[in-house]
Amino acid sequence: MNLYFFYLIISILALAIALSAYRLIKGPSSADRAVALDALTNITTALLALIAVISARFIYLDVALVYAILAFIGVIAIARYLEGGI
Amino acid sequence: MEEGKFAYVAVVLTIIWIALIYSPGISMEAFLQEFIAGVVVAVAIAAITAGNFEDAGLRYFHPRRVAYFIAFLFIFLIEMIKANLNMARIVLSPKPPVKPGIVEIETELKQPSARLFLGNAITLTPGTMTLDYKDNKAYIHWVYVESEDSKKAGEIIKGKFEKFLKEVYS
Amino acid sequence: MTEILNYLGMLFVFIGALFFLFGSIGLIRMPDLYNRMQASTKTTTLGVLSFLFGLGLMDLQWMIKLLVIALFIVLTAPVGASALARAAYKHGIKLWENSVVDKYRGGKKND
Repeated sequence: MNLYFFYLIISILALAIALSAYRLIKGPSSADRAVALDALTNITTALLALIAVISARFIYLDVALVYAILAFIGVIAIARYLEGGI
Repeated sequence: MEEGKFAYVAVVLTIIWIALIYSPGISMEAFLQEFIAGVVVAVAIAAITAGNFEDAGLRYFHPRRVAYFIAFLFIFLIEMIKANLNMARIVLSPKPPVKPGIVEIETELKQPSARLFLGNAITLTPGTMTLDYKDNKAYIHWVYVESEDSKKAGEIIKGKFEKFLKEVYS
Repeated sequence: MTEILNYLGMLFVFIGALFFLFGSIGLIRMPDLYNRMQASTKTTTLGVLSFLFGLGLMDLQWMIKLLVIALFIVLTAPVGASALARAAYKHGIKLWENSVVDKYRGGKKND
């Protein structure tokens, strides 16, 4: 449990989130934004698991699991919408 | 046949439930309580939904199929690591070497879950992504098209995956 | 032994974080939607797998739950990407102008 190591990991993840967020804002189409959102949710799931490890609470892992499930449903819903299903 | 499906769904749901309820330092008593409640719910869900599955059954727990499936997972993991190193190379090179296109390949797999595994494996391996299935054809987006012919492209893209999946689902 | 596992876990976590970074760079640099999707899906999936496996190595009792999360993401991320790509194609988003072949629309070059 090296604190500086976690600082390093969190700064790399922050950089990745910033780059993805650039694509999320810039677009140009709504599908591009959905792809950026998909990448962001994966990074967020990993970040939630990291927070659970840092704070040593096993129960926080359930948050990451539920977040992953909801993100998948969200992506499928966006896909159905773009296809004209809903 | 129906009973096989029912038992298969119930067993798979119970295994997932055990993986979900396990936590460090859980007491035996609490674990048993949760386990029994989970089995009851799994049986109830299996009774309602087992009819919806086209190709489930206890025969998938046959040791030979399980062994082939584990071998498939290992090959998949190795291919996935190769794919990612390749992708990192493409992304970091000053001028990304891309020549994209959508090609068409044929597959002999019939079962929906077999097609799901093949599609996932193709999506996660070097430079290819499944777009759609139509009858026995799959449409693949390829970052660097090496062959437009459906036979040759199929050999390159599917690799060993289809052979192993055929053994699992034979 | 725990020391070694701890350092090994750190290595895996670091590799996972690096792959997230590669995925984000790919998201910015690739020329069209489909290539971007390939770059981001593949790298973030392996990134999550490696990251969570590394966290599990730091404390082995957490391994099962972390692997369940990783397995769930490995199973669903490609499905989501496929669905999104097909939806984008049907929505009318064109391939990149330098694409060589488009069999999904009957073998013609996209026009």
